[in-house]
Amino acid sequence: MARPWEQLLDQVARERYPRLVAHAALVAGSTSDAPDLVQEALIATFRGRARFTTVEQAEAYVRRAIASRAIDEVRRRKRERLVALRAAAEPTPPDTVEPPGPGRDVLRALALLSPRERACVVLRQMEDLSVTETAHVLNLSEGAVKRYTSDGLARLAQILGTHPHHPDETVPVRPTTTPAVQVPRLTPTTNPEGAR
Amino acid sequence: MNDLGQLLHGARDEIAEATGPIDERELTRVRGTVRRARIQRHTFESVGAAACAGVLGLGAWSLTSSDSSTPVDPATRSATNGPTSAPSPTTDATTEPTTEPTTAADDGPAVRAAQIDDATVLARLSAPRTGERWFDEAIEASDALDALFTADELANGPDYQLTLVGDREASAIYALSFPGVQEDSVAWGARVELYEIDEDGPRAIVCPSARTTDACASDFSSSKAVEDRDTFYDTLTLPASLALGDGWALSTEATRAEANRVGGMSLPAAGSGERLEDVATFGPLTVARRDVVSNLDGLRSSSYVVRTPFGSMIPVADADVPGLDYLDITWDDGVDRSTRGADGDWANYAQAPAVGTCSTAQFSVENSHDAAQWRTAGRTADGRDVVVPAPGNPLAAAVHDWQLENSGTIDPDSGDTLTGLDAGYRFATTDDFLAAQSLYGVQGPGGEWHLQLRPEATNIVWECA
Repeated sequence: MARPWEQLLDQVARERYPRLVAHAALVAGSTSDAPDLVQEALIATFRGRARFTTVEQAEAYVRRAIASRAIDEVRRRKRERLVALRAAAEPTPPDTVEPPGPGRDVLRALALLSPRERACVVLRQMEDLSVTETAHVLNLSEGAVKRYTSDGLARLAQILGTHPHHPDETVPVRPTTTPAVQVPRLTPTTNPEGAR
Repeated sequence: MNDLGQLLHGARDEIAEATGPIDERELTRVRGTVRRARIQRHTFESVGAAACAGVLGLGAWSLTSSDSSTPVDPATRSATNGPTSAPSPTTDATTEPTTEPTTAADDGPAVRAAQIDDATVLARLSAPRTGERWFDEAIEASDALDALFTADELANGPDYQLTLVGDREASAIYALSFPGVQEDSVAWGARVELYEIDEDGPRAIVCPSARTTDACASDFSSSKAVEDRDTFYDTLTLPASLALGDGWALSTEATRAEANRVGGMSLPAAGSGERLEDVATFGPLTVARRDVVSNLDGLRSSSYVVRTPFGSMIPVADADVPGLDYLDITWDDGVDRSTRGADGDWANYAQAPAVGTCSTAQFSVENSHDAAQWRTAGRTADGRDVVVPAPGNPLAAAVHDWQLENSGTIDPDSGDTLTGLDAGYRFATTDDFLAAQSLYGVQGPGGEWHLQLRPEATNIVWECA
């Protein structure tokens, strides 16, 4: 007979998997890494001591684990590339380009943000986590969360041609180091083969 | 203008709708990984309590440190991977815990000494005074990494690998190792470090030997652990001599003097091309031959290592392997070849002839040794016969040709790649190679001939990377 945690794991994985993959894709800025991120987050959540008893609670834990792991994964890859470059062991693989698919334009825009900006935007904008909760999940200061969220939203709005959803972010937008003219503007009609 | 929130939510819904259910095989893998992790967590949380009633070990320490806000599952000893008091790596691993009481080799206090005779060392290997118990199988313990490192270190440092390997009194014993590729030099990439964790927190065990004259590790990686120079283990104390039969023995004097060999290194990874063959056991320690891929057909190339009961291996230093000290050979032709002819530590001892300079192999053995192809030409410092190829021995030409053809370096002035003799290889012909007594053999255990190559005859390399 399956233990309670096994039953809960099965329920979360079966009932919430597509939504978790979508969340992971937004946080990672890519659909290709999303399934792996979800599986790693499921393992991290259920192997630990988290106190949850319902599918909703468990899903919330998994979503947060996805966000923190997405940042760690980017860091790990960056380290590996640096090591490879230093050792001249292997050529550095190019960044993958998001293939055509659902939500492509939004994903391409998100991919242009830094991993921390992306995670902050998704957790604050879509998960409705507070600044304090987001800071805890991503191991950042609250000030950093405000800054990343503000910067990320501003860049997204600029790229996608929208206005930010969160006008009440308390830290003013930091002057971007990237001139606006250099930020690619993505619309469904531009560069359909994908932009680097 | 579109609302950003609508776009984000719309994208999420689109992706979710296009995503199918989780693959059942993946779900099975996730479930299995979680189950193993939970079993492991229960096991290491229970170690302290099980070893010493009334004393809370790691579980209690964990509760008061990083994870105090969450509940702890009841500590239960796993039915698998239990500790044993005197494991033997050469026997099949058992999943049943051994609870037989240990018979002490002597009743005195467990204190270190500068010199310990081998009879005592061997007796204590099987019946340690020091109370450690090693698990038959190491248990993955990445959940405990936060006891050794900060969150920032774990996020930005190497991908540490932590395993629970045993216990001692109220302490759990962990082995920390590193991946082969990481940000720092490969020299320490495979190093294994030992830690104990109890209710007071983690300690780095830097002097595991019962001998005060053996080396201690010069550093350790954990930022949270304190250095522990007092804890030692009878089961990790190497005998001064490791007899492998036929009056043939490895010394451990140089091995024990090296600070970077204290905890050993990780066992060869699957797919590395390396293989371990156990050749003798000394309580929980096992001497093994570490085979590497030979570059010449018909030759097996190996070095000696000592396998520890916690799953690492300590390479036996070249100075401790009979026959590798080329400079001390007395030659029958009267020529003094005791002066080192090349710079660098690598030039102190001979190496296996069927591999390159950067290999760890210490000797090669022929698949079939024909005594008629060899002749006696000298003696080692400890009185062993030294043989060299007889005229026409095809192995000499094969070894010479491979070492010559695989010599290469970079001209420091022009940056050009240089090969063969241009790279600085010393012997243009097989005759030159033979005249310098470059290839020789010394009989090892079991009567087999360990073939070796003098340092100056190994291939030239720009660097070992």
